[in-house]
Amino acid sequence: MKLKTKIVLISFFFVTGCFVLTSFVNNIKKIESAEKVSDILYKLGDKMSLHFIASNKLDSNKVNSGYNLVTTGFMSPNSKRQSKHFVCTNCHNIGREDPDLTQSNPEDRLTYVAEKGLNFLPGTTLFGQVNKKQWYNGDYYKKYGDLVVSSRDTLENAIQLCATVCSQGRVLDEKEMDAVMHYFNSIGYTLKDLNLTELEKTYLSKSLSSNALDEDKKGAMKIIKSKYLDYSPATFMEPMALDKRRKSIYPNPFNGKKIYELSCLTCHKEGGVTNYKLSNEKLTFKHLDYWSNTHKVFSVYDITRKGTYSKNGYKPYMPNYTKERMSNRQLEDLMEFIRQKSEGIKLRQFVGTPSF
Amino acid sequence: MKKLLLLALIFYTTTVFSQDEIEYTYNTFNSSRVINSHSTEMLEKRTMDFRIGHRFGDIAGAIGGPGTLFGIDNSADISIGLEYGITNNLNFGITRMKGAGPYRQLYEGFLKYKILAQSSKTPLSLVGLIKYNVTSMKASTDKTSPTAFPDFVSRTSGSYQLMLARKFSERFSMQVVPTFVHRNYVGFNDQNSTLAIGAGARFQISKLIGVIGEYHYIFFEEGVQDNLGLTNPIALGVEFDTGGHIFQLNFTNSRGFGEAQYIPSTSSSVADGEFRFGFTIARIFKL
Repeated sequence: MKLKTKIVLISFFFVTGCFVLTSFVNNIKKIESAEKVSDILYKLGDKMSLHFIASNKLDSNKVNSGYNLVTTGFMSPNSKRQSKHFVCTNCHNIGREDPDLTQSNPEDRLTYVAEKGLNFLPGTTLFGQVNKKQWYNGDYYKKYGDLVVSSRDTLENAIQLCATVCSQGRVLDEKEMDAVMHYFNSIGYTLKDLNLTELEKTYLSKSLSSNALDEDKKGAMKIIKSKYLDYSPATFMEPMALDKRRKSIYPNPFNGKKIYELSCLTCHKEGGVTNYKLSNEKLTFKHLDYWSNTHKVFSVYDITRKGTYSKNGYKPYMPNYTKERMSNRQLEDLMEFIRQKSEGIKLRQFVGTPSF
Repeated sequence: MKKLLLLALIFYTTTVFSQDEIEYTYNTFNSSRVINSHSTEMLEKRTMDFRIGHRFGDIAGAIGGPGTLFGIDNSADISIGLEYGITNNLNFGITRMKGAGPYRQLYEGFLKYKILAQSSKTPLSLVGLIKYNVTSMKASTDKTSPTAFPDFVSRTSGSYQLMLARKFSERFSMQVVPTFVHRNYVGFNDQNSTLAIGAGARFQISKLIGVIGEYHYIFFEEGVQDNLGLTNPIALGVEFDTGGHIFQLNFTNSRGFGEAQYIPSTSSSVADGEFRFGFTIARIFKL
């Protein structure tokens, strides 16, 4: 073979090789960790919910309007207030509140939200709501009856139920709902929220390539969906029996302090949404401590589990804390904090032999 | 120069640090009234206070006793009013009162402004109050009557108060209230302008129950008190804060609501049994 022919052949194979290699590399382009989970599922061919809006279709003005509505009750300065009683953020955070999205564990959540400067609230965070498939789950039927039926599988209906019954406001109009949907989609889970391993990330990348097999795509969807709960479990609890109260071993008043500040005072501080004000004064703690030995409305044990039902025009509505939003252990921590503060002693956690 | 800069820096950082540390004192009183007079408590922005008050007849004395069920059969004054928080520091309100002195069928409007709020940096709260009253009663044909009202201005009166309060502890709060009342048309031997200094206090028994009291010393012009038999208003009561509702039950020698009534026109003597039971119910709404 002539030298010239050899050079031509080598060049041909080199160029072809480079082309094939480049194509392959492009095909398994590494996915960005900031990419929205919904977008990835859409690309993988998943059946999307009605509320899905792809990230590249999100309108920043609508996102801002939705944010304003959720946090202030007004979509814009000239719009009508959604509710004169509450805004969404009175009961829901808008940031991530669970360290592990596959769990709904109030103990872990309290530590996490305290570190992140969020509140410890009775409602599930709005962050990642677009990634859920069901709302008003579990025992919410006990509280709202048939009202929850149409709200369980459609986010829009769930929002309207929350807007009109829980917050005692008006129905969101089409424009407002659109803005809220844009905002909610903007705070959907991203890939980095799922804590994927490097191997899983590579698998996802391969599954997103144009020549990926259907089995790979299904596998990738399964991996993604195994990384978060697509509903918020809700188990209602009866108020603790009087003879069962204050029987927790070594209740932690420091956790109780966090709950008091990040939960109770969120609504009951001066300037809060309720007229029933709590403070850090000894009289307040004595009052809470005293009534908690009863089943009356001022009993922390009772009001936390039962809440109050919302009535039109009746302001003092309190949502109940489900088992997944506050454990009995945490309730005892809160009561230990209240007890120690009512006695005016320096907070301390008792360890060793229980005193009862 | 360097020292000056250092001093300026220290002053600046201290100021910034101090600003961060300010803790405001809340709930000096449970309601916007002690009993008769306003307190330093303000309505929060966009909240409305709906108030209904009632003063019954004398418990004892000539028109009291078991015959009138200790005054329950008689109504000295009735008031119904709405108050609103424009901002956390500016409130206004309107009240309709039956009226208990010479003037009846009263409408009262007020503006209340919080000048200072007690905090870790400020020892006292200071609130200013301006009230304007007008009576809609029919003018008397007797030209010597204090209700002859020759013109509209004579139907009006105003009162001006400064409330200086301190919450000494979570249980005890007190306020001092200088008051100036001016009535444009008064009867013979009465005075148009009246100056008073009052004090009100609250002792909180529990989170929900407090004991309240107030007294006003009136600076009468010579002869006015004796000629009209006027006395200084005093009141004692108990209040229940149920979270949204405030119930005040009280005993007072003043018959009327509003400064233009109870400051210059109280004529009942506690010593003679001329004091009455009264109550006020206040309900806060968020708007």
